[in-house]
Amino acid sequence: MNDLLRNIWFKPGNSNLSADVDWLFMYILWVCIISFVLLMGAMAYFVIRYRRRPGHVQQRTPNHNTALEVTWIVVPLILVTFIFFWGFQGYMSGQVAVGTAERLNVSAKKWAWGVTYANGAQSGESIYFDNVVLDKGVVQHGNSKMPVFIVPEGQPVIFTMSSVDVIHSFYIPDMRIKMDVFPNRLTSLTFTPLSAEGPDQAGVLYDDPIKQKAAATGMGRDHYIFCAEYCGSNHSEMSGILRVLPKDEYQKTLQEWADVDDTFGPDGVSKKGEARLPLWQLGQYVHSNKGCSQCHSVDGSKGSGPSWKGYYGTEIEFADGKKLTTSTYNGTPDIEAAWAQYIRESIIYPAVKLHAGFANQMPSYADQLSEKQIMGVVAYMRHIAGKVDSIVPDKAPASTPAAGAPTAGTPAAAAATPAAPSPAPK
Amino acid sequence: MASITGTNVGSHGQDAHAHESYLAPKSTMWATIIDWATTVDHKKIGVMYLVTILFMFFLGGIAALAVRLELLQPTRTIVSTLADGTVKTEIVGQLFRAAGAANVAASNDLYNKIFTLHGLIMVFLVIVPSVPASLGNFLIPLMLGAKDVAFPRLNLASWYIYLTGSFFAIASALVGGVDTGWTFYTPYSTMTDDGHWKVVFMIMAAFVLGFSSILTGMNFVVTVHKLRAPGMGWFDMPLFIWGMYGTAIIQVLATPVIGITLLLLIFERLFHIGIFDPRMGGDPVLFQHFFWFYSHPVVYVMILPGMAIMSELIAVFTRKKVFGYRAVAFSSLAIAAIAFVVWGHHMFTSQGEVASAIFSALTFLVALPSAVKVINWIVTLYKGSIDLKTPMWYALGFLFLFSIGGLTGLFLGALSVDLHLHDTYFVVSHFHYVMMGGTIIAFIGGLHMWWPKMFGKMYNEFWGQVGFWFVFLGFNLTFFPQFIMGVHGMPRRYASYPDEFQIYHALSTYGSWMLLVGFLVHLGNFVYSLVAGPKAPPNPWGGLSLEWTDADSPPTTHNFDHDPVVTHGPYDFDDVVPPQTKPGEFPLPAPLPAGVRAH
Amino acid sequence: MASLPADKHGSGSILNLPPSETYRHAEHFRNAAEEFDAVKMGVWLFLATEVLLFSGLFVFYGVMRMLHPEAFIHGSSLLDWRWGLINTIVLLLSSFTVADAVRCAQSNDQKGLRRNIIITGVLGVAFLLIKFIFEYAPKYAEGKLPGKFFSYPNWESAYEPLWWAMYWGATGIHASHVVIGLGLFTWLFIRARKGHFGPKHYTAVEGVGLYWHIVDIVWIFLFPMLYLIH
Ligand code: HEA
Ligand code: HEA
Ligand code: CUA
Ligand SMILES: [Cu+2]
Repeated sequence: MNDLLRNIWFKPGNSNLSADVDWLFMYILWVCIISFVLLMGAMAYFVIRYRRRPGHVQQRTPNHNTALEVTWIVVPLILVTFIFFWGFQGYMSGQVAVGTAERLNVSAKKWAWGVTYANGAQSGESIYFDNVVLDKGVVQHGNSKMPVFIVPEGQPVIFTMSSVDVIHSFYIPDMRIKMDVFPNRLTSLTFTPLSAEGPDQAGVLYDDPIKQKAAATGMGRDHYIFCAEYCGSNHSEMSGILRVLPKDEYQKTLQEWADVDDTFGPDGVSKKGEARLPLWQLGQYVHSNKGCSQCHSVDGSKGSGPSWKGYYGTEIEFADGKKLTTSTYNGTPDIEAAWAQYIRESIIYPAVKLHAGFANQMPSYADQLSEKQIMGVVAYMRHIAGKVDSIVPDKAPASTPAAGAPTAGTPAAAAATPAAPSPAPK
Repeated sequence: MASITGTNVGSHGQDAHAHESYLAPKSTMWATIIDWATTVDHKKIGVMYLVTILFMFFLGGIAALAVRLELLQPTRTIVSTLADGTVKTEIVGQLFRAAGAANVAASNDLYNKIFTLHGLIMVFLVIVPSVPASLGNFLIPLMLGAKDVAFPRLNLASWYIYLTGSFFAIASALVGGVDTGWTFYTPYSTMTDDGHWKVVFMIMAAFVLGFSSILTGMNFVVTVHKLRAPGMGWFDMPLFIWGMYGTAIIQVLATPVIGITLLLLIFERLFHIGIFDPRMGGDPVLFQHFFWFYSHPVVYVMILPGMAIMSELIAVFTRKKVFGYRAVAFSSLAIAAIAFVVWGHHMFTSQGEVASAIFSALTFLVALPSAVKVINWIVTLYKGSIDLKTPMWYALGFLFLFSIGGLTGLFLGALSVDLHLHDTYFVVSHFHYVMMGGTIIAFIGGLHMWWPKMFGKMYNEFWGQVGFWFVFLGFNLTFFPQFIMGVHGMPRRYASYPDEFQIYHALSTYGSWMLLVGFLVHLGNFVYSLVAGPKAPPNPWGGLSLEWTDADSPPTTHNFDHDPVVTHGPYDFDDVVPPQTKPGEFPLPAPLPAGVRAH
Repeated sequence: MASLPADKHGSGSILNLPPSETYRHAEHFRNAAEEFDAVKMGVWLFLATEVLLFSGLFVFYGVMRMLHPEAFIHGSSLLDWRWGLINTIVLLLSSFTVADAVRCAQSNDQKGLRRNIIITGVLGVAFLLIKFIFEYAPKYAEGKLPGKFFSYPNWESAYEPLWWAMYWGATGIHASHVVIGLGLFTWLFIRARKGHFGPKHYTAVEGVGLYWHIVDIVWIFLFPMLYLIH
C-alpha cells in the first residue's frame, strides 16, 4: 500500500537527501489520509444518519465539551510537532556537505544555466550562446538547447551559485533540492548523487552525441534541472540536464571538455572568451596579472593587504570587531560558503567589510574581473589553503598561458610571461 | 458629500418610502440610478459590491481558462532533416503562438501576462473583498440589529475606491499587461518593461485597493463594537460576525505595511531609488519579507470570511448550535494573531536556516485553530436535522476541499519537503484548494443561503444542486492532478513543460471546463430567479439570527420596522421555533436525557 | 476627514441657536454619545494604520542602515540638524495649539477655537516652507537626490544614493501628511466659522487634532533617525 502510494507520488530520487524527504512526505501523507478519512467518514455518516426527513427532529446534545476539544487540539499538535522536527533535521543535513566535495560554480542569467568546473571546463553557457559544437555539453531537448551538467557518482558536490540579472532558482526535482540564486550574493547547494545506473528521468533526449555514446554502455543517468523562480519570458525554457556519471567517465569527459581547441591570447584569455585553465590557476593568473599581488602576498609576507597564506577558511576579524562566521551572510551553510561570499564582496565592494588592521584602500574590481575570474580567485585561495576542488587531475601545464603566451609573441605577452603561473606548489 | 447627506442619511426616519423594500425603484430610471450611485445604504452598497466582484471573478476565470488552454499541450521543437539536407525545426503545442504570437518568447510573454492578470484579479479584486464587502456589508448591520454600518459614507467611498483600483488594473492590462506575477518579486518587477507605465499602473491598483479594504475593515470593527442591538453581548453575536471581526482586524493591521512597500516599489520603478536593487546596494529579498508580511495574513483575510459563512450554513441547515461556540470564535482571533508571524514560510529557499526553522515551527502552530474549526463543524452535524439544500451541499463541499487544501499546507510547512515542493504545482494546487475550494465555495454557498434575503426571490433548488456538483467535481478534476505533477517536479509559472507532465495538465484543463459549466449554471439560475423566481418568505431556512427573525425579505430601507431587541441566542434552535415559519415545520427536539446538561 | 459622520443642522437654527447646540446625530446611531465614541474609535483605528505605515518605513530605514552604515553615517552628517530642530519645535508648538483648539471647542470659546486653528495651520505652512526653502531646495541644487538622479560630485560612499532615497522618501511621505493636515484645518476653519462646533459637538476638531498629533510624533522619530544618529 505504502509503496503503491509512493510510486504514484514520486519519481525515484537519486541523492542522499531524497530518501529522507520521501519518507517524511509519506509520513505526512499518512497523517493526512487518516485524519481526512476519519473526519469525512464521520461527516458522511452524520449526513446520512441525521438528514432531515419527515418525523426526524434534531436532538438535544451538550454543545461543548472541553475535554474533547482539548484532545483535538493536542493530538494534531503532537503530530505536527513531530513533522516539524523531522523536516528541520532533514533540512539541516541537506545544508552541509559531507567530506571533501566536488565544487561546481553555477551562473544563472536570463535564460540559461551555466556551470564552470574546477578544471576550467564549461558546459552550457559559453557554448550555448555562440552555438558551436552541439556535443560540448549541450543537448537539444523539447523547446530549447539545454546545458548538460555532469557530476560524479557517489561524490558529494557543492554548487556555488550566482546570478547576473534577476532571481532564479536552481531546482533538481530528482535530488529533492532547490535553492534560489541571487544577483547580489552567492548561495550554495549540496548533495551526493547516488547512482549512475538506472533509467533516465529527464524524458526523451533528441540528438545528443554524448548520450548516444554513453547509451551503448548504458552508463550515465539524466535528471532535469529547472529554474523554479519566475524570471521572465523564457523562465519555462531555462532548464538543463544533470547527468550522473561514474567517477572515471566523469574525469574523462571533463578533461575532454576542458581542452578546447583554442590558443591563449597574450592576456591568458582564450579567443573563445575565457581561459580553459583550472580555476585555481586562472586565479593565480589573476593574482599576478591584475594587480592583487601588489598588496596581497601568497607567502605570508606582510603587504598593505592581508596575505593569502593561512588566510582562507579562518575566522578572521573585521575592523568593527565582528568575526567572519557562517552567520555573517545569511543562508550560508558552512564557513567556506561564507568565505566565497566574503571574497566576492571584497573584490566588488571592498569597503563594506574591512579586515582588522588594514586601511580601506583597495579599489573595486567590479568591472575588471569576470564572475569566472572571481571564482578563480576563490579557487586559488582554497588551493593555497591546501584544499582540492575536484577529483579531476589538473591539466598538464602545456596548454597554460606559460606555454601559450609566448607563441602569441606580442609585447604584452612578454610583459605577462614572468608573472605566468608556475605549476602548483605541491 | 452634503448632497448625499441631504438625500439619504438625513432622510432616514421621515422618508415616506422607509417601510418598503430597499430595492424599490424610484420614480424615474435616472432617479433610481442616481439613488444607487449615491446611496449610503449598506444593503445597496453590498449589492453593488456583489455585482462588481462577480464580474471580476468572471474576468479572472476567463484568464484562468486561457492559462489552462495554453497548458493543454507541452511545447516541442521537432527537428527534422529534409530531403535536401536542410534541417527544419518547428515548434508545436503552443496555443498562443498558433493564435498569432510572433515567436516562442512572445507566446511565453503572453502566457506570463495572463497568469499574472489572473492572480492579481483573483486576489486583489475578487477574493480579498469578496465576502466582507458584499455579504459582510449586507449582513453585519442586519445581524447586529443596526440600521447601518458605523460610517455609511466611508462605506460608499470604499466602493468607489474599489472601482478606481479595478480601473487601474484593467487599464494596465489593456495597455499591454504586466508579467511580474502577482507577487511582484524584485528585481524582476523593477526591471521588466523598464520605463513603461503599465507596471506602475498595476502596482497602483494594488495600492489603491488597499485603502478600500482598510476602510471596510475600520468600518466593520467600529460597527461590531458600537452598534450591537440592546441585549446582544459579544457571545450572543452570530459566528459570522466573529469571523468578519477577525478579518477586519487583519485588514486594518496588515494593509498599511503593503501600502508602504508598494509605494517604495513604485518609487523604485520611477526613480530607481535602489532599495530593492542589488546593483545599488539594495536587497531584493527585503521586498519578499515585506510582501509576505502582508500577504500571508491576507490569506487568512481570504479564509476567515469563508469560515464565518460556514458557521452560519452549518448551524442553520442542521438546526444545531455550533459545537464549542467559544472555541470557534476564539480560533478566529488566534488565526488573526498568529497569521502575522509565519510569513517566512514562503521564503524557505531564500533566507537563513534559523529564520526558516522558526517560521516553519510557527506555521504548524497556525494550522491548529483551523483544525479546531473544521472538527467542531463536523461534530455539530451530530444528531442534527440536516437539510441537504444547495447551501448545505456547499458547506459539505467546503469541509472536503478546505481540509485537503489545509492539510497540504502541512507538507509545505515541513522544511525539507518544502525545499522540494516550493514553487511547484503542489503549491498552486494547495492555494487553489484553500482559496477557491475554501473561500469561493463558501461564498457561493452563502450567496445561495442569503439570496432570498438579499433579493426576495427563491433560486431553483434543482439547478442549484446541479451547479454544485459540476463545480465540486470539476474543481477536483482541475486541481488534484496538480498535486501529483507538483511532487513530480513540475514548476509553476511555466508556459511550456516536458511531455511527461502532459497527462496531468490535460486532466486539469478538462476540469476547468467543467468548472465553467458549473458557474454558468449558477449564473443562469440566479438571473432566472431575479426575473421569474417565486417570492421568498422572510425566513425560508428557519434561521434565528436577526436578519431572519426581525427583517423582511428583502429588508426595508432601514432594515427593521422596530428596533430589534435580542431575546435569544442566534443558535438556540433547541428552545425556539423560528418565527414566520409554519408551526408544524420545526418541531422542538426531545428534552435531554436526565443528567446531561445542554450548556 | 472623510470618516466623520454627517452633521445635520436642521430645525434648530430657526430658534437661531448655534448649529453646534442643535446638532442631531446620524440616524443609525442611538444617541450622540454613541456616535462620538464610534467616530473616535474610527479615528484611532485610522491612526493605527498610519503608525503601521511609518513603522514599515522605519524598518526599511533600519535594514538599509544595517547594510550600509558608512553611507548613512556620512549621509546624515550632510544634513543640518539645526533646521531639523527648528522644525521639531514648530510642530510641537502646533500640537499644543491644536490641543488647545479642542479645549476651546469644549468650553465653547469660538474665538479661541478659530484662532488656534489658524495658528496651527500657519505653523504647518511654516514647517513646509522651512523644509522646502532651507532643506529640499539646496539639496536639489547640489544633486543630493535619490537613486538615478543622484549627481552630488563629492560623495564618499558608493551607497549615498540609497541614503538620499531614504531621506527623500521618509521626509516626503511625512510632508505629504502635513499637506493633508493643512487641508483638514481649512475645512475645520470653515465649519468653525459657521459655528458647527461647541461643547455638544466637537468630534471633527478632536479627530483632526489626533491626526495632527500623529504627524507630529512621526516627525519626532524621523528627526533623530535622519539628523542626529551618527
Ligand atoms: C485562503 C488562503 C490560504 C489558507 C487558508 C492557507 C493555509 C495554510 N497554508 Fe497556504 N498559501 C496560500 C493561501 C492559503 N494558505 C497561497 C495563496 C499560497 C501561495 C502564494 C504564492 O506563492 O503565490 C500559499 C502558500 C503556502 C506556503 C508556501 C509554499 C511555498 O511557496 O513553498 C506554505 C508553507 O508553509 C503554506 C502553508 C499553509 C498552512 C500550514 C496553512 C494552514 O492554515 C492550514 C490549516 C488547515 C488545516 C490543517 C486543515 C483542516 C484541519 C483538519 C482537516 C484536521 C486535521 C489537522 C491536522 C492533523 C493538523 N501555504
Ligand atoms: C481566489 C483565487 C483564485 C481562484 C478562484 C482561481 C481560480 C482558478 N485558477 Fe488560479 N491562481 C490564483 C488564484 C485563483 N485562481 C493565484 C493567486 C495564482 C498565482 C498567480 C501567479 O503565479 O502569479 C493562480 C495561478 C493559477 C495557475 C498557475 C499558473 C502558473 O503558475 O503557470 C493555474 C493553472 O492551472 C490556475 C488555474 C485556475 C483555474 C482553472 C481556476 C478556476 O477555478 C476558475 C473557474 C472560474 C470560471 C471558469 C469563471 C466562471 C464565472 C462566472 C461564469 C461568473 C458568474 C459566477 C457566479 C454567478 C457564481 N491558477
Ligand atoms: Cu530563471 Cu526562472
Ligand atoms: Cu502563507
